[in-house]
Amino acid sequence: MKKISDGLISLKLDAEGELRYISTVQEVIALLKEGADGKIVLVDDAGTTFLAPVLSKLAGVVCMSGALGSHLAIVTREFEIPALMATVIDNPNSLNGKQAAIKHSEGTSGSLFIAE
Amino acid sequence: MVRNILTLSTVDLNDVQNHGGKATNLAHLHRLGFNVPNGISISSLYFDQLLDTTKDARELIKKLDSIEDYEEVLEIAMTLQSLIEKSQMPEEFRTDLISEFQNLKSERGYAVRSSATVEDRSGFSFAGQAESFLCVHTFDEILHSVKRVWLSALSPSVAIYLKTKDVPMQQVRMGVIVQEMVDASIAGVMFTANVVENNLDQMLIESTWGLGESLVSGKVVPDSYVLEKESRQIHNKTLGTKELTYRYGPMNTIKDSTPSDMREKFSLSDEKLAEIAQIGINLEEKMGTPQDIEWCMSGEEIVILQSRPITTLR
Repeated sequence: MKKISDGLISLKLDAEGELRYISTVQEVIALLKEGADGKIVLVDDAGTTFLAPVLSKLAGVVCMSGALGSHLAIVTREFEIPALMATVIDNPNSLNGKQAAIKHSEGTSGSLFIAE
Repeated sequence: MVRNILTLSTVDLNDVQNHGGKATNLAHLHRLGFNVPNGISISSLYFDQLLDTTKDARELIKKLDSIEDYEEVLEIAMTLQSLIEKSQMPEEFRTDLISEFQNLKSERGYAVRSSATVEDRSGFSFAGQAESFLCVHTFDEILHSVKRVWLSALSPSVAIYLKTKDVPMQQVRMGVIVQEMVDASIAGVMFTANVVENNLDQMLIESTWGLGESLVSGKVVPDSYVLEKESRQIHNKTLGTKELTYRYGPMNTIKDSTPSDMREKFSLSDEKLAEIAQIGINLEEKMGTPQDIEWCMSGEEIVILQSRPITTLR
């Protein structure tokens, strides 16, 4: 796997799964119908209300903004899944459907890896 | 005579059932001497009245609790919200609020915030689920914002969040807090334990320019700091991009792009960081458990906006 970006990780936990870039509530519902179990969702910002239907099923979340105090980081911790916050990704659409891994590195830092 | 709208400082600390977790926590902080904005707490009894007087509302909530299919949950919750939106505010509430509003005198307006009976509890934060409204000025705007807070308690995403936590929606009662608005120059959050590594000897602080809404809603990457709790020594600090600054406005919140010179410097000096950390340590000690704290600065004054138990330490 190749490291794509670094970020702030909400929990000292690793996760691996198929990555899906989600930007609308309709996409969340579609993912729910398809099966969200074990997937990693990539979102633009930390609006938790948006992801509520699938949070309990996901392996992890990657967020392109926010930090450890964001609502998303707090709520994902309750579901015991890691959220990688403030992760800079130039072309999120290009990562859709790829196998991804969130890995804790040290302290509050983590990284996003994508299978080549 | 039972009063259902109280000044925040007089809320009974054990009355979560009527005033919700946030209001009772803030009342507790006030009694302990922490700097908390003045305000009033609106009992969830008015929320109950609204549901009782809205045809089919209670039946729909019972139905929500009985079904498992998430699509059906979303559909029913949307129907419920639509009914409540069209419903009239309880007249008793309007009358009571007029009376209490005369005691609030803030030139900067108010923050209208949720205080659900199920939020800010150990194991269950309800973080980001209900709406808050900032820079609210007139009585009518406050009424409107209170109704919006009540509505947000019945949203599709709340319905699903509760279901994932096995909490019946019938248990949710929504109190509302109206507090004097703070014109914050810097704001942030503080965890009095390192929630990432489950380390009680460290604390995490994040800060950004302006109002804290940009941070908690995840719209900005704030500055972040890890401190050793006992010595308050900085273990490490990371400069955030702080792309946006939310500011107090006379009509509503102003959202500006942060100037580059402000993005490139830390929002907190080491001295101010240590001062904030000390307040967090004092707060944890008084509350008896590690805390997730929202704070802000108005000039040099540090104000506590919220504090709740950290829900996820193992």
